[in-house]
Amino acid sequence: WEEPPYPKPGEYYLLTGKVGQHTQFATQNNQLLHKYEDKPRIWVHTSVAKTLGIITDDLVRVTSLVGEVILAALVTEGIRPDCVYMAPGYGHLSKGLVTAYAHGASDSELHMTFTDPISGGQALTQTFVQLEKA
Amino acid sequence: MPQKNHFGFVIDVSRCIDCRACLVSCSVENAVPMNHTRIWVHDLGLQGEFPDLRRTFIPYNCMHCDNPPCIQVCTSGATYKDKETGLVLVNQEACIGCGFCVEACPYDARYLDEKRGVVDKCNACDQRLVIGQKPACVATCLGGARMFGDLNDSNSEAVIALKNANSILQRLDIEYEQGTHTHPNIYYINSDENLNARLEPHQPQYTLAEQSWRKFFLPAVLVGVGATVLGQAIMFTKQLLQGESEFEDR
Repeated sequence: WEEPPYPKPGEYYLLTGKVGQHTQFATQNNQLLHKYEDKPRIWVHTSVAKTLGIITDDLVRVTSLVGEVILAALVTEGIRPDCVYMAPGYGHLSKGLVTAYAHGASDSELHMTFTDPISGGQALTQTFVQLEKA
Repeated sequence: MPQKNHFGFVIDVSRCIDCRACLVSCSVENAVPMNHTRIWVHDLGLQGEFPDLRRTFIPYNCMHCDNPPCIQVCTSGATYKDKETGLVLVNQEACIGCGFCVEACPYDARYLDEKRGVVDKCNACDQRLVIGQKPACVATCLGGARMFGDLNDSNSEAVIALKNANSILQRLDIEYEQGTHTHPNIYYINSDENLNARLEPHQPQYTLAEQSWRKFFLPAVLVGVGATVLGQAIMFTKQLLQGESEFEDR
């Protein structure tokens, strides 16, 4: 057993998941799915948002050790106060993806690579990010 | 019920996961323009404090009311209640696109298709019903939240779901004139929320154009036509009784 790292004060676990309207990272350019999806935002707990002074749809600069993105915030009770959640699959870089290009932000720009020494799996919740109002 | 069938939707609120597959399939099936939608999933929002949270989604579309306010305001007679199925449909050949019904619908379930100049709405996929298929939203629903069937037929999927419901049946019914209720045909089951209070269907809104048409111009036209007919009739009778004298040679 190895004690996992914990976020320092002012840092938050970066969580990612899936969007109900999309299949992984492949369908963001589908106009019909784009039409009915929620705007990609970063979820922030109400108490954290209060200390940062942000409300829903404010732009937030999210910084990890390896990168930073700017994304609109969703202030919600539906997340732990020490975590933030980003809808994955957005922030496509190819201009050929007319609908998906520059829509939302990519969580891959923030993730650091931690490989599990036994299984080889990626530890996707071990990246800690800092938030500030952009 | 006056009509032969009485089609209606039954929606199990506890099963909706807000995946919006129904919205996509509806758009594809009915070629809905990209800036409009015929059906919606209303999110009541998160309730409670972390970690004791709950969230309810209410899918809805045209309620196919028994007393639809939209039919009353239709100037061209394009909106009608189908006698066979009980569905509220739009005859787009006859629709003039005045948009009065869009304002009058308490559930905002209609939209004006600007490109075609007609009003469009949920038609319960009647093109699929005639070949024995369910509406696209019902066929797509992952959780089985949406059900559709003939409410007069005790073996239909909808009636069985209504019988097995764990809660009271709810409808988003509103009274819009003295003693007149919309009597919508979407039944919501398995929810302990008061959906009518949460979704808040509004009173039918009548635009200035609609009101002036119904209260002033339509009566004026009727009075004018009536007066003309009456005058003609009087002159005609007079002529019959007295005989024509004016243009006869003396």
